[in-house]
Amino acid sequence: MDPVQLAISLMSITLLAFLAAKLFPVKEVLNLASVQAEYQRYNPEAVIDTIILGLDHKAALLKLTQPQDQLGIVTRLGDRLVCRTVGKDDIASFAVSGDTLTINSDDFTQPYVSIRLDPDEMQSAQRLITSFTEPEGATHANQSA
Amino acid sequence: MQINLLDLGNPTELAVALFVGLIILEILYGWKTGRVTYEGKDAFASMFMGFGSKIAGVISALLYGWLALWVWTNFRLFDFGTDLWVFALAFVLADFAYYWIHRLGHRVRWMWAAHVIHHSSQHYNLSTALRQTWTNFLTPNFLFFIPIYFLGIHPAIVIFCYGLNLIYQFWIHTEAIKKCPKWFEYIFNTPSHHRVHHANNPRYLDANYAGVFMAWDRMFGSFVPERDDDPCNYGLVNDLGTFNPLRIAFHEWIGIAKDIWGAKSWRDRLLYLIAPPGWTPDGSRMTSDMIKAAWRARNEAKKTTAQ
Repeated sequence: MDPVQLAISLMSITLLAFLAAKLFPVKEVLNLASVQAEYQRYNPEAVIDTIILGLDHKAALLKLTQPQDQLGIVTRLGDRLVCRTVGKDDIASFAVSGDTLTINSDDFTQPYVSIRLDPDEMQSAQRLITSFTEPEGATHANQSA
Repeated sequence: MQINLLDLGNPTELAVALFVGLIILEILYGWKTGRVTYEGKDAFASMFMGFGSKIAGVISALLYGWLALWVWTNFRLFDFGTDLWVFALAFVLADFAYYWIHRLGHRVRWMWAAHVIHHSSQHYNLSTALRQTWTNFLTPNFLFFIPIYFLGIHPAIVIFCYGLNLIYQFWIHTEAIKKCPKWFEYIFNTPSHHRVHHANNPRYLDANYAGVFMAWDRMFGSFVPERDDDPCNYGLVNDLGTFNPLRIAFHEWIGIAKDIWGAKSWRDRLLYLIAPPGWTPDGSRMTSDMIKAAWRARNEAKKTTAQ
């Protein structure tokens, strides 16, 4: 491997990607309609109850009527959307810091998802996650607190 | 006409300048017409995977080059020499070997773990062609070429022709070309046929594995034409959530390791390796066959309801 050739290759890759980024700026792609359409495309049998859209339009949580014990997550990756359906065993933990909810999972290509929410939606999102990640008793305790 | 094998070189290295030029042209064409889309980080990830693939290719060459030469030297049935017709024959045989490597690359998870990288972009443009695996040396792909060396074609000729095959496949990764002339679409792999191969629409899953000649797909029942009423959506049935090249390169290997670690029997461990991607003992994930079956059932149900 010729180091000069490697350096030229890396520079070419960077310049081409820069050109692509300049000529194709990433537009807003995550909204209620696109989340619903894209999630249903990948999960045609799922029935969506509610979509909780992040304030910065980078992620959304989906409460599902079917399957009941799972949660839909749609995130923005560049100008495309990535859809996940996660269950109790897929979520390692979640944490709230300010207006940001972070869901950690064992997904190697997406180990965590952060979503910014207003206070009301934060409560809904937390209730939604705890409703199937925590045992029955703990859920009620959490909700009453 | 005899050809000196030492003069052959590696055609993919010579083609790099052509690749760069065509990507620039496609970016400008897409910017002007809106018929092609790019995304900076996605394009960077794709091209960086190609860069890494060239480096990792050295490992494959070191591991398997000697084996190829050893088979040809000691076990060849004939010595076909280096005439032009031998190159033509090698090109066809290498394309046939590619078809089966590619087909099994989609149907055997061990081989998919390497090939999935090429399908992991949700974009379809010339940079996607360069999104190649770093872990080919961990797959049994080299075995598919052994019969060609055994027959008596020199490994240098086969590697050269395989390189030409891969160069051919570069230009078909585009949405800029809708359809080629009918005769060309019938014989050769084209952007239309290969869009189908990269699509994750249920109708298009596991189709069009050809490298150059579509005859293999037509012969072995894997040909599916592109349809205007079902536009291609690109990517995986479970898309990656990252542009990080390291995560892209190794995600499926990590997935296999986790599944094997957590498996309850040796049968399950084996099937996590050789069954189609998505296989689980309890059917909790979906293979492409299951996705297609569910799609067909939905269509049938729709038809029944309409009647």
